[in-house]
Formats: sequence, C-alpha cells, structure tokens
Amino acid sequence: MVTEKIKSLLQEGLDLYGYGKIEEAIEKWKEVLELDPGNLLAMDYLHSAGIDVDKLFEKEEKKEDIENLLKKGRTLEAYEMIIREERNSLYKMCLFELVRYRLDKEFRERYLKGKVVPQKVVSERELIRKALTPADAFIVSQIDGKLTVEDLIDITDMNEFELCMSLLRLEREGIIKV
Amino acid sequence: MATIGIDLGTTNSVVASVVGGTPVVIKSKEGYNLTPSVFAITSKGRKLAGHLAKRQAILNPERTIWGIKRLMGKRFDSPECKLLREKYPYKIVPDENGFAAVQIGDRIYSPQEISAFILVELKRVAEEYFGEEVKKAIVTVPAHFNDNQRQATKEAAQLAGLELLKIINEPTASALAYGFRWAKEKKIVAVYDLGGGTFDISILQIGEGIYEVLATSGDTFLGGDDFDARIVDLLAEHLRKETGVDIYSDPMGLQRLKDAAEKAKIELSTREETVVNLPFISSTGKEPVHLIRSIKRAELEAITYDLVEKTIGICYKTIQDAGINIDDITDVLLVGGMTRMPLIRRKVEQFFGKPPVRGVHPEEAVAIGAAIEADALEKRSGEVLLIDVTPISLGIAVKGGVFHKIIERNTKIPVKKVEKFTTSRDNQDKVIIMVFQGESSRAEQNELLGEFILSGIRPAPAGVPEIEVEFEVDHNGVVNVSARDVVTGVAQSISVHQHVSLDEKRRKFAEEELKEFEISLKERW
Repeated sequence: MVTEKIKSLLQEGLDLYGYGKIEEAIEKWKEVLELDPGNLLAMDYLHSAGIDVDKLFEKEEKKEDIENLLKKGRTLEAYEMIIREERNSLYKMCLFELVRYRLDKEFRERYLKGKVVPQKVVSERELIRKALTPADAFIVSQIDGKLTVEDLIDITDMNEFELCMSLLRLEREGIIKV
Repeated sequence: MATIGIDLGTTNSVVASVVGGTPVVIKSKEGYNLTPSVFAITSKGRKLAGHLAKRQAILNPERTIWGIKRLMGKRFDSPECKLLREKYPYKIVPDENGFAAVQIGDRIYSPQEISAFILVELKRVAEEYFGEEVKKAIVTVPAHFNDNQRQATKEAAQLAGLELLKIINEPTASALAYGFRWAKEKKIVAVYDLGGGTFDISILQIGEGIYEVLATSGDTFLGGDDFDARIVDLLAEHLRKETGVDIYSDPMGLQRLKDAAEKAKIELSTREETVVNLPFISSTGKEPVHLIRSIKRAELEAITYDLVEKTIGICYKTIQDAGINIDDITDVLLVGGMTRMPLIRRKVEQFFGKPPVRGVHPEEAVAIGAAIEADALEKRSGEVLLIDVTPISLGIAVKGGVFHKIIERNTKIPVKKVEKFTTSRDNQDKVIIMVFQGESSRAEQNELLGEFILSGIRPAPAGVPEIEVEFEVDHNGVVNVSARDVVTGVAQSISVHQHVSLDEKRRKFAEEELKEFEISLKERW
C-alpha cells in the first residue's frame, strides 16, 4: 500500500512539474522521502528541481526550532534565525511572514502605543562591554529620557520596524528600558 | 494675555517674557532654554522644528534647513546668496520675484515661511508655559538688517500667528537687558555678540530713549559652529590615525561626533579638561571602533585662537567706522553663548581695556531685552524705553551713480522728507527713481529696495523741471516713496518692500500649512 502511495506521489510530482508547478511538485517528492527516506527517484527528482537534499534535512530540523521559538514567545530570536535562511519554499515564505507579523504586533504593543520614552540604564563606560552595531550605538546616543520612540523614528530616519528591532535588542542586552 | 520677546537667531532662538515683574527666559517642557533655528521635513513627510530637526540634520541634509536667517530678504543673485549656495547642502532657488527661497522636494519655501515654522515652535513653548494663547510679541533683528530683511522678518511673525508689536535691533535689546535705559548722560556701549553662527559688533550711543547705532559690523559666517567644527576635525583626525576610519563618510558617526564636540566645548568653559567618550562610533568592517579622548581647555584655545583674533580685528575696524576712540566706550556687553568661553572674555577685556558688564546670561540677553520692551509697550506704562529710528540711510540714485541720502540713519520715525530734483537732459519726459538703502556714496554698493518710472514730465531744457521726491517711513518702518512733477502734477509712488512679501495665494497656502503644523505640535506634546 505504501509502495502504491509512493508511486502515486512520484507521478503526481512529475505531472505538477510538467505543468510548471515546481513548488507543489517538490512538496510531493518530499512527502515520498518522509515515507521512504532513501528513495532514489524522489532524491533524483528533487535534485533536478534544484533542491540540495542533504540541506533539506538540516533545515527541516531548524524549522522546528523556529516554530518552538514562536511558541515560547521568543519572536525576536525566531526572526533573527529565519532572516538568515533562504526563503525558497512556500512554507518558508509563509513562516517568515508569520514571524514578522508577530514581531510587528509586539512592537506596536510595546513601543508604538501612546508616548513611550526609552531610558538608558548603563553608562558610556559600561557600553563598551556590550555587543553593539554602530547603528544601535547611534540610537543609544540619542536616547535622553525625553524623546519618545516616535521622535527616534524621525531623527534616525529608520523605518518603524528597524528601529523597534534595535530597541528590542537593546532591551535584551540590558542597555535600555521602557 | 502675556507678551513675549523673541530672539530669532541664526543658529538658536530664545523666547522670554516678563513674569511677576521679572524678565525670564521661558524653558520648553523638555527643559531647554534655547531652541535650534532648524526646520526639516523627514523622508516620511513629517515636519520638525527645533531640537528634533537639529538632531537629524546630518542624516537628512537636503531636507533640513538651518541658518535661514542669512537668506532673509536676500535676492537670489546677491553675492551673499551665491556664497550660501556653495556652502549649504540644501537647495536654494529664486522665487518669482527674484528673492532667495529654499526647495524641499517639490515645495518651495520663502525664508520667512521657514522662520515662521521656528516661530510657531517658540510660540508653543510660551503657550505651554502660560497655559493660554500667546499672540503679542517683539522680534529682534541684527542692527545691519535692511528694509527687505526687516519686512521678511515681520512677515514671518505674521505667518506664525503672532501680533507683532515691533521689530527692534539685537544690540539695543541686549542693552535694555543689561539695564541701559534712560540716561541723563549719553553712554557709548560696545555690544560684542558671538552666537552660534554669526558675529556682530555694534557701537551704540544711548541717551534719553534713543539707541543710536554709530557703527555695526560682523561676520555672518563666524560663530560657535566654527568652534565645534575645529573640535570635530581634531577628533576625526585622532580617529583616522588610531583606526584608519574616515568618520566624515559615516553620517551617523559624524552626527554623534558633532554633538559630542559641542558638549565638550561647553564643558571646557567651566572645566580645564573633559573626556569625549563615544563607544561603537564606527566599525572597521571587522571590529567595532570606540573613541575615547581627553581635550584640555588649552588645546581648544590653541585650535580656535585665530577665530577669536578675527573677531577682535572686526571690533577694531568698527570702532574706527564709528569715529570714536576706544577710550570713549563706557561699557562692554557680551551677548551669545560663545562669550562664555574664557579665551573670548580675556581677549575682549584686553582689547577694550575694561571688563565686560555682568549680570545677564549672554545667550538670553537679546530675548530678555525684547521681553522688557514688549511688556512696557503692552502696559502702556508711559515709560517709553525705545524711540524708533531708521537703522540705515535711505535715498535715491542720481546722475553719475551717486547715492543721494534723503533720510539719514538714526532719524526718529515716523518721518516724512521731501527734496526737489530735476532732469539731466533737454526734453527728458521721464525719470527712473531707484530707491536704495545703505551708507555707501555709490548707489550700486547699497541695497536696491525698488524702482519706478515717473512719466509725462513737461518737455523743457535740462535743469528746468521740478520733481519732488517724498520719502515716508511710518511707525512700523514701512517705506513709501513718491515722485511728482510740480508743474503738471503727474505723480507715481511705490511701497518699496512689496516684492519680498508673499502674494495673496502663497500667503494663504503658507498660513494653512503653518496652522496644521501648530496643531500637530499640540497633539505631539
């Protein structure tokens, strides 16, 4: 029965591939590998479709990590992981959009609702021991306990998402609080 | 309702008022005494004025307007405007009347519109303090401002929704702040004004309410910003030597450096040494770059000595222009935040041979003086503090390009004066009346305020027709010139600053835009 299923999936993949529906074809052949991990035909077809089968299994593990991070509410880490990956499947593209949506929602709640004023909690001397980018350090230099997040968006010329990303990183590092 | 005095500076502006009988500078809610004279429109279309606009200036150079005072009432083809087009990173363009304007995106703004945004920000500061609407104000201008420049400043105040009581000269306002009012004996006062962007030295003769400007001079490109720039260069060179990083190509790093340089300069006025500490200011690509460097006061003085010497040179020349000896000067007043620098105080005392008068914060003096005069005017206390005078001589060009003065500077206003002229050629049937303002004997070296043609002159040999030219300056300093053929009665006239003002359509548009900006400020704060 499994053999029949595998045969059917392989053929369906070929038919979809023939119609130019590459992503769907890939999903069919991946399903074959889940049923029969060493299936040579499926691996051959995936290779023809430009998929590195070895990496496929590695990334499958990381996909779970991202999902777990999301479940645990560690949205920033999930985002930092997913932006380093290629979004070469429909699933990954959807996952990326989901992570970004959740992060965006978190930013709106945390930084963009009302007048939120970040405060520095470390001195210039302590800052050297942290790990910052020049852009993050620039944002820290503008935080004076009077400017709101909206003001920071205006004076840094960053978009809302980029600035809030920096603020969240700076909070995580214990450099600022809101 | 409260009245306010506004020092509308090139780099920073200040608003003050008399509260409970004492003139005070009004701090903003954020705690600032000074408001940067900067206006910007972000890439997202948001309008900013003051501190927020200044903070993003380096990151948004083409859409941030600073130093707009240097363009007020200036013609696009003037030599000063040509110099500014080379210096300023934003676009300067001519308006339809040939006056200088600035362009942000597709929108063209006159200098008075930009100044109006800054005045709206200052108005907000005052209204938040008083908890009610503020309308009546005095705004100050440099003593050397001509009629076009003064008219542009008046228009800026009107666009901002202020009811302008008067325009007064900055050195005059400073003298008021330092307590120089009615004096039985005439005093000769030197006002040394070193601000953020410009240097002005004025010699005033003060007596019985009249503040005569005997001479005024300066450098419109010498101020605190130049001192900051020397510190930036010092630190940038240090960074380059230590790490190879060129901070000038890094806008975020450069903005931090500039802010730190200004802070260090201010600290060194009260301390012998300061440390500039800027972690993660840049990156080599492989690792982060930190800047930690101490600066001693002696080092700052060494790298800026020539700037201070330049101001003393200008003082020397101005005293000569005033036709007085340095010993005739009874008092020296310091104005502008830069005069807190110990080197400047030493050099000024050394040059004038007497210590400057103390008792007023130098960066607040002009606004305080304006507030004192505004309060006196509003209360109509009978105590007339200032008698208005024309700041600069007015006249016309006559044969040979000579400038013939009709109203001398420092004449009390309102004033009306008539002089008779004639034709220079036989059967000349028209004359061109060109109205100038200035002190040079050559007309073309003065500022052309306007011109008109009187036609229909009775044909006659040269020198026979009688043409009466009347100059009138009203109590607001508005200049009207008319000419009349005495025999035929044919006449023509001109209100000389018409062209610097916005036309009806532009004015209405500007007022709406400023109203929206005012509302956005109230919502924000």
